Amino acid sequence: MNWYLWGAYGVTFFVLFIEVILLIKRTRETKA
Amino acid sequence: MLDVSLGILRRDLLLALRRRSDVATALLFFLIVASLFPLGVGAEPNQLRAIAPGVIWVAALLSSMLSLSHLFADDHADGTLEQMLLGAAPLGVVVAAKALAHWLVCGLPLVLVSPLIALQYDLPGGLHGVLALSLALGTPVLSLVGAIGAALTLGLRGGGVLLSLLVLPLYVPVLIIGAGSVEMAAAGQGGMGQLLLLGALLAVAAVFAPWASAAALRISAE
Amino acid sequence: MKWFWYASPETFFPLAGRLAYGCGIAAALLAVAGLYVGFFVAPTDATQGEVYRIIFIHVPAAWMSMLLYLAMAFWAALGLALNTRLSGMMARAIAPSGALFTFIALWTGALWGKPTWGAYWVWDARLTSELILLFLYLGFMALQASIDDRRRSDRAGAVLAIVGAVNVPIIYFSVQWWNTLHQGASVSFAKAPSMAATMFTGMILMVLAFWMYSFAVTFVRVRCLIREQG
Repeated sequence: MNWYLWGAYGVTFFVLFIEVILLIKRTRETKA
Repeated sequence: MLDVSLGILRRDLLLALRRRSDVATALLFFLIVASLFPLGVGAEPNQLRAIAPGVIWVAALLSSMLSLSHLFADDHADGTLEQMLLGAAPLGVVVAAKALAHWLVCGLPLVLVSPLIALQYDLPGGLHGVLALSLALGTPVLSLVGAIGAALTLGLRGGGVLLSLLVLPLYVPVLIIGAGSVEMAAAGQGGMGQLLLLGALLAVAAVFAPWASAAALRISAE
Repeated sequence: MKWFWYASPETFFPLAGRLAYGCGIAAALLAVAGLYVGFFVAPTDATQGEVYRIIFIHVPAAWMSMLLYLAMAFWAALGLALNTRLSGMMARAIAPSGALFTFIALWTGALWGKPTWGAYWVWDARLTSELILLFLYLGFMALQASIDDRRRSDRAGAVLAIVGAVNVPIIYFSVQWWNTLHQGASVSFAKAPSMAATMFTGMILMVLAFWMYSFAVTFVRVRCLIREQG
């Protein structure tokens, strides 16, 4: 119901998740 | 040290005089930008009077910033910069002299022309003085701080746009205090405090900015 | 003595890996604890209802954005002064996380602003300063990205970071003054709910969680940089 609350938390954790994913991708590439 | 700075000042001013277009361009840009805002927001006199200090200040900011890229670039291109780096004179003094020349060519004209634009915006006559004074104190700070950005981005692909991105956040306090001084005066509260603050910023910038620019120049030119 | 041994990228590499792992675990645990306190222990606010719970990520993100900038400037300055490669790498590794937390602070601030102040964006002193901080981060990253020579890139970034760090208090105070001058109808940020102890606990836990997360991510990034830059 409270879209503001979920929007804030959702985007925050989504964006942090993306950061981690991109970093994992980068570690895989530099290992090569 | 004094004759070195005077020498550099004279040289930069002579070069600027020979390329009179640079002076004219900065001034023209200032005038054009200031003329654009009424076209964008409408010519309602009260509105224009209200936004005048801010608009004029932003125009001064942009104009000063645009003329920064060739502060060191020309000297870098013809090898003079290397001479300055190797020379006996402290690089900070050299940079300060160049910043002063830059201000005389690109900043001072804005100060002198500002009453004209104030008239365009129907700013009350009593505020013209505060406006000009705020610009007189603020534009040198813009030149000094801008020199740091110019030194950092010397010869880079990103060039002018990167310079803008780096330098505009640093310009924000000058803008706020400068425009604020005129707005305070308009509200009948003098604006002296802001002008003094601008003076303080100028003093601090005059001491520290050349030093930071010199460090940046050495990093960029080595 | 031990510190200087780790100042070499080669020896720091395995340590960074272990630290990243540990900090990552800590971050996850602290986040779980913080969110638990934030949602199930802290009471509903009298005036703002449930939406105030945004504070549990908004304030920690804002604090991290500022802390990380100082850390970035610190490492950059150290690298400039001591001419150490690893210090420059640390500064470069911190920047993206700092920028990200700044964005999160702005985003959560906007979503908190709409239901409480009536507008997504308010020219509140802190939000405006955060926005400028974001520009400072992006400028730093843009400058480093546009310089190919690694050494010049590290050192130029360092000068910019230091100049930026010196300017942050000036920018903040000038924006704060500007905000009071143009107050208008905007509500002061001080209207945040007065801290119940549980709210404070939740916030602290989340700050620590974000902090551990930043450590972990930074260490992983430094490892990538060590491999990439050799």
